[in-house]
Amino acid sequence: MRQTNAANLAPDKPERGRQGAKGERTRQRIKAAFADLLGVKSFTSVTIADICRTSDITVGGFYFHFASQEALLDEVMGEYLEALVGDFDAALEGDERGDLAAAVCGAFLKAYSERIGLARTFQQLTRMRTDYALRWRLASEVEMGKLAARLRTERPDLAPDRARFLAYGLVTMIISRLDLVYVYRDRSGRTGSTPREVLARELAGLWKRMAAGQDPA
Amino acid sequence: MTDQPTTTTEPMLKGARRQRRGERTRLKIKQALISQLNEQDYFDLTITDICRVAQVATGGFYFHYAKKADLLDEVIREHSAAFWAALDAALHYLDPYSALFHATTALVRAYRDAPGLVRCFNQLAMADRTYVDLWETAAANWVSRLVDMLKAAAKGDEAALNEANAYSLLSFVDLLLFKIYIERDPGLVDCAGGVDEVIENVAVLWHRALIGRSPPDGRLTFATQNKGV
Repeated sequence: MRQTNAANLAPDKPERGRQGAKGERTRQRIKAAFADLLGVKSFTSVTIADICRTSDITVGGFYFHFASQEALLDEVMGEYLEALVGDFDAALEGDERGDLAAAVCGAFLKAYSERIGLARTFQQLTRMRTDYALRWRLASEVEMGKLAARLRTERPDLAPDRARFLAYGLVTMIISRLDLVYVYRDRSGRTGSTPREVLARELAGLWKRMAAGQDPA
Repeated sequence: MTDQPTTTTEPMLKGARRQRRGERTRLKIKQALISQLNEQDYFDLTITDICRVAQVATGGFYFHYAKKADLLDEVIREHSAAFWAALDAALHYLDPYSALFHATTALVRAYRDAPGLVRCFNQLAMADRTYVDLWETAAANWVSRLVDMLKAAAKGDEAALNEANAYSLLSFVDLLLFKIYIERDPGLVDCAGGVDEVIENVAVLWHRALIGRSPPDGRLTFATQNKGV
């Protein structure tokens, strides 16, 4: 059952909607309304009626632009992923002498804090559906390789596969921490109330400790 | 009069036997769920599937459980109790690296033993607060004892040795092992090495993040073979 979803996600269906400027504006309005709704509701409980009410269009108007809610979700998640991976890539391509830890942590923190609803939905989907786990894997694989190469310039002692392992470890550390703050929304206040600048400093600090290597003998 | 005892004990014996058989059936149903979750998604799994694998009649299932979710809930709570007991045992080691190493080992074992169940728990936790609470309460409790133990044992940089950090680092270890053993992300599995290497390297990262330095070289096996992080 779940696997059949993957086939539906492939954007090979002819795109719906008018190509003109007005059509494009409406399309953007629907996507923005959906993103807002995801900030307050779970993606499983948002309905097309909610989307139409929030974006002030008719149900017919919705279906003029999108074949289904799944198609809308697919497009919105695709754009979120593209932006996140783009920022991640920019952080890795940055100045060789620049602060790699702060740059990469900053890219993820930006995605989570500026697009909370989308970030939360994306993380939920990667955990609940294999097709979304695969999308993240494919989109991030190249960046993991680049990060591993950067880590080896700082730590030539690292074997190539262990540099990759460390790269996955560091990114997983960032995601696990941001998930606690933004996705699970820990109600106990153990991690929830941290301001963004403090979070950025803590993440970069943890990164540096983990990437530091063995103490010189 | 003298025959009285035999007539009263007989139904009791019968009852005890029936109870034992009932427990065996219950156990078979639970084992069937755990093994079937390795093959199938929980949401696609039917009671008919579970009964087929358990070799139990559907009526037998309903004698023990009202619905599929009740069975899952019981299995999750039992596994969760065993899981945290294994993590508790790790805190009996007195030095930080041993404690983190054995905690990592306990996590890896739990994930390899019942990957389907762990995946299912993670799916549910994304949608159902009850299961998030189950994890959070136990995790916070364990983490606070870990921090006490580390503070007593470690003489390192204690800046990161607070409960919030330690709590989020447990989530880190959990997520990394999830990606290796449950999601089986090929990019990660290919560079991770065997299970002993994974345990050592994860424990080293955990140790560095919490205490601010690597464990002593003498304690490590793979780091000295150019297989460390």
